[in-house]
Amino acid sequence: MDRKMTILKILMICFLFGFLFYLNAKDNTADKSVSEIAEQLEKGKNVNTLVKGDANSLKRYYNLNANDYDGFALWTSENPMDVDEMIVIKAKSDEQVDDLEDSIETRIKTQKQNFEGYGAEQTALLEDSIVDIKGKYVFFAVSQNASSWETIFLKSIKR
Amino acid sequence: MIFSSIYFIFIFLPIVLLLYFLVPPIFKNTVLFISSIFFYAWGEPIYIVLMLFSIAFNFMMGVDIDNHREDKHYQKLNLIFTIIVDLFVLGFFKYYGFLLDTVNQLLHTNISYKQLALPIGISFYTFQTLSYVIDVYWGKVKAQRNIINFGLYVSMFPQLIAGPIVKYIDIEKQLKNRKITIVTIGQGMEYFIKGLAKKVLLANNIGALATEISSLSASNTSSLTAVLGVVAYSMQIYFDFSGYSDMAIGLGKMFGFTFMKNFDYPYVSKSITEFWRRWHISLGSWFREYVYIPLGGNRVGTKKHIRNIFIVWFATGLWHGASWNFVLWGLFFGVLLLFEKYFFLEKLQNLPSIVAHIYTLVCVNISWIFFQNTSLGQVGHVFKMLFGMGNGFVDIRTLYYIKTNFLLFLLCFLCCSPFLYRIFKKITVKNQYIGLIINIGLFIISAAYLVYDTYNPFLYFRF
Repeated sequence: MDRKMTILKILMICFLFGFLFYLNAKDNTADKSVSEIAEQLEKGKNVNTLVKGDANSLKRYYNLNANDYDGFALWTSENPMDVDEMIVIKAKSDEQVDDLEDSIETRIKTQKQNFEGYGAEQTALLEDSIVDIKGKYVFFAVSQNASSWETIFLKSIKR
Repeated sequence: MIFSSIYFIFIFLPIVLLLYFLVPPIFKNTVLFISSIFFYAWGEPIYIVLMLFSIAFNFMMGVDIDNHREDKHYQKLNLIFTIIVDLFVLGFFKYYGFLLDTVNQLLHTNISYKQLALPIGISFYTFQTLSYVIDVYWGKVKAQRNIINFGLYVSMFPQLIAGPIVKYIDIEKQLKNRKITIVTIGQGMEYFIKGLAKKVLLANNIGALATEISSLSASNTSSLTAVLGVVAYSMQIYFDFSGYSDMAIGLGKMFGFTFMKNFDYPYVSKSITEFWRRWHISLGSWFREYVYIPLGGNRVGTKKHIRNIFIVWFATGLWHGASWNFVLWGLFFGVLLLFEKYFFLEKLQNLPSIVAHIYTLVCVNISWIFFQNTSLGQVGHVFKMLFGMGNGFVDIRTLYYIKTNFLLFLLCFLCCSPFLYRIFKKITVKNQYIGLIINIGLFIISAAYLVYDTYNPFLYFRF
């Protein structure tokens, strides 16, 4: 009886680890185009106060070439004293995801340097910025509303 | 699926109630268990596997521990094993990312991980299974030998997702035998409607104000506006959570179960000690019984007592969220409770009630600043605005918010005390038809709000 119980316990633990491994390996994101995701994000609070960026803006702010990726959507502040910003970019491969993360880190660093010493509010927002990677999608937002924008992003890519 | 939704109120609940009352008593638990699994799977089709694992695993371990009463060593080993597995599952989904983020920050490493979605209700049902297996070990209860009954205890949809945390010992007899009468169904419906109104009419509306104020920049926020935002949030979280608890208790009653009260008008408290006897009672009770007392409680020396308080409040904070602001929130209360216990609780009780009330409300509202803001930067931001470093002490926006939300605030303040409910009870004792009209009226207005505002999740779902 005890031997049976021991085997049962081992089987249950194996099942648990198998399930956790499966969850980690599985891709939970739907294959949506960035324009579909952008359409949802545009409904986010105060996104209409931002300016939609183009390939030149992507190059200027992130040193990225739009053609290297499977779509992007970028919003920045019109006012140079504001740091509100949001970007969603879809990588073509997993290797590109790491590079995108590095570009975003560099962008955050640059912005912090720009406002260091006189922009306490802007620096605080940059400290609290959100970077989220889901599959091949990379999301970055700086704003008081960053959290709500992230929620929209996560919902829009859910399978 | 959430309680405050058209689908739940008009489709799921009536079907489950109908099936439940049609089947013979021997099948009622099975119907309720299957309904609960369906309820959970509706929102979490993958994580239902995790819950079923938790049910099967804890059922098996409970039986195993109970079968070895003569072998204390075996029992202890298996209890430890069960606790480790249960906490591992909770930790994996809730704290893994937090732990790695902290390690990365402290050691300047860049260990990456995949952030999995948090299974809804995992903190609640894990604490329930832990309380069960510990009570079996202590000999307080015998292990449940019917897996359907045990599965029902863990997964019962009224309390699965956001509590109250039900201890097995409180529900053991009710699983086998419970009385369902027209009176209990009526009481259940009244509780449910009260909770629904709290959530939909009060929490959602005051929450909209709290959200609006929290998204203002510092340059647009005066001190008084910041105060309004903090108070609005404290109203929102109370009515949201207590509303859900009331709905859970009401639903339980409809099925013949009596769950313990989870909130007892906490904002009328005259000390933090009293506040925590009235706020989230089931969680406080759980930590007292399974952490504080086993550590020695207050029956040890002063140093150990202080240690015990800090452990409990560190854990309470962490239970609420995988973020340092929640830990600070918990420790903030730990410090206040220690100060009250060792320095001024007696003095507080001798002060005029109004002073004690103000002290308690100020401390509680300050605590919500830590609770609401996930980063310390944001917490600092709010405190700056409170102290006038935003847009001065008062501005035109403050007056606008007070003018447009005055009645809502007044209603919220009145509903924070038992005043209105006592009047309602007095009226219904004299004339039950007036009570019926009020309940129907509240239900219709709440349902109308639900039709208009279809997305209104509960704040405590994230735990």
